[in-house]
Amino acid sequence: MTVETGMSRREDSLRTGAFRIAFDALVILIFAAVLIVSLKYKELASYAPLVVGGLGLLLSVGILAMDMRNHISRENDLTPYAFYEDMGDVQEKADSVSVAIPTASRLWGGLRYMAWYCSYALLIYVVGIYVATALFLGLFLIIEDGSWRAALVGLASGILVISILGSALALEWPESLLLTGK
Amino acid sequence: MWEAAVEALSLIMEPSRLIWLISGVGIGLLIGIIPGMGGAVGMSILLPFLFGVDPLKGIALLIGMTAVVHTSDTFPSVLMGIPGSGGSQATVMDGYPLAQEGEGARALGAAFFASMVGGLIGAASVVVTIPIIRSIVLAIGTPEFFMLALLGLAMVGIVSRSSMLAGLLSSLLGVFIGLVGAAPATAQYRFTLGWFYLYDGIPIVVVALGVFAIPEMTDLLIERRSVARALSLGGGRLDGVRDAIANKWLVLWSALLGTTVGAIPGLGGHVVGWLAYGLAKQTSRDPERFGKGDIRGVIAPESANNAIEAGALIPTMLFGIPGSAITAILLGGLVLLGIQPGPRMVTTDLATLLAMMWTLAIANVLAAALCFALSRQVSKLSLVRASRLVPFLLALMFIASYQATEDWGDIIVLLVLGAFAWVMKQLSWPRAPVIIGYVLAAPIERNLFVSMNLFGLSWLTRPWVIVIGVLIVLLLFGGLGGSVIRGKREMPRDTDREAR
Repeated sequence: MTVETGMSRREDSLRTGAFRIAFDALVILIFAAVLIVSLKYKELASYAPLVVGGLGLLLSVGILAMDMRNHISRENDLTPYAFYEDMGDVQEKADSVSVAIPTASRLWGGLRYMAWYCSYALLIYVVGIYVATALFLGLFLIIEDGSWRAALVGLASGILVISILGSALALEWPESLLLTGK
Repeated sequence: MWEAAVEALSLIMEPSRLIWLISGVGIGLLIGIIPGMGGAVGMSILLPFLFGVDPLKGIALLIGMTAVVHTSDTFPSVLMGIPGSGGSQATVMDGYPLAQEGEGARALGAAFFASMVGGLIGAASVVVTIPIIRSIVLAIGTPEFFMLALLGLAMVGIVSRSSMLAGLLSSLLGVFIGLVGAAPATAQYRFTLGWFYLYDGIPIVVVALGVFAIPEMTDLLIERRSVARALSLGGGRLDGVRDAIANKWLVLWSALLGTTVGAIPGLGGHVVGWLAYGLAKQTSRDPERFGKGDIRGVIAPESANNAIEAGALIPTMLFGIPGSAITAILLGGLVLLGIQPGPRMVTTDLATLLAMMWTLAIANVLAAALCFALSRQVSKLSLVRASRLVPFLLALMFIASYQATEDWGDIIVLLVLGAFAWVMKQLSWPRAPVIIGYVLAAPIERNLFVSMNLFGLSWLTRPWVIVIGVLIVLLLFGGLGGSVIRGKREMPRDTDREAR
């Protein structure tokens, strides 16, 4: 499998390793919080959260240790699938159909789209679902797809679909700040 | 049982339910065509629109959709060389070379026919095994159901394609999400952060959309797949059907393999496709032809990946243990519709279970017929650019999410879970165990509470509890031990969207 964006596989592996360690640390924090909060619950309500928190904390510390070791030895992300490791050339073929974009690049690239989603939610909150959807579809298609024609068609069809769906299924829309109700 | 089967058929053939089934098949075909989508995403978008719907109509829509995703995902696999879903990865190996040689229609013809027969064999084999499974289901009690749920959770974690530790941790994260809200055994709210929205727990719709749909949409946008290499269909669809008929034993064995693997929690379509491909190659007299455009390399995975859905319904409906992300969301959806999995499925609700099997069978026939009839038109849909499609799906997702409780919390939690799950996906943490853990959290806690109330600690000495307990310990120590000894996490790249 090749990396197409100019970053070497080793560089990507190292950056991905660092992200992985950061994510492991976040998971440790989550399970530690679960464990600590569970201690305050009544006995019957605390059994399951205590088990989940305790076991999760133990395993997440384990995965962090393994990832740190892998990161130091610069070996992470180069090993084959666990399940397929005995499947020979079938595994190589599985690798060959993957999309080759470095994980580190994907992580940064994804932030842009997360910003789009949050902006859409914010728009719904401020101007309501119809205006927000029209703005979101129009702007997204112009900026990301670069086509005014697609934007106009998309905007019109999007609003039409939402209107039909809303009336056919009697859907409720989120209340907005500026336009009360819808 | 035959009376129940006839009753189930008459229930599902009622015209209004048939319309829902046809709608489900249509949606499933569309979802399968779009590379990177898959049944889990489709089901999570559909789920919120089923509140208050007649249960059998809901079943028709959900199972109709699930059953056929693997039929239409053949289009991008064969014509573009991009797996439409995890289950069709193996189809690419020989399907794409065939299309490059101008035999795309032949590959598609063989794939559709094998898919249809595989789906029918899968449904029939489950029906045949119901009397055997029935005796097992009726013989076990609450403690055993508790242990089976634990076993399901352990298996799903352990057989995850990436790190086993990551698989287990994902399961635990799912259980944690499922614990948010009121405790079943006592009047206490847990992990609500003082936020009223969380008092009733996080709805399955929001969890499913966040864990599956948001990461898939984001990756579709990031990858910006090129459509320029899509190949033309060519002619010879009926030749493909003849190929499938000529390889009838391969179709049969692959379907039985698919059904069996489907019944094992944790092993999804991505596994069975490759297993069937491997089976076809190993049993062939000329294995060197595989990978260069051998029609058997298309027939085997396509037959197996349609049969898997029937097998997956066994643990899901009879034991309440979903074996994959799709069945976990399906289970959540069926509970929303008022259908309870478990022993009732083989007693009072046998007609419902059989209606599901009929739905699977009819959906597979419908899908194959539609794909045959409309293959030229349908194949063009796989050329729609992600950047034009995703914004619509996103808008639909936000609307769908809001229908869960009609609270802004739905959208906020959707975004938070979506961002978290997307990072998980990038770092090769499996996501299927999250949704399975979430779905199993409530039954695990409830069954433990009931077992303790009924039997005290003596339930731990019940024979089947001990057997299942030993199995869990062996699995955990075997899996984790192996992982630690190797000292390396096995990290896949981005080849399977559905299972991760």
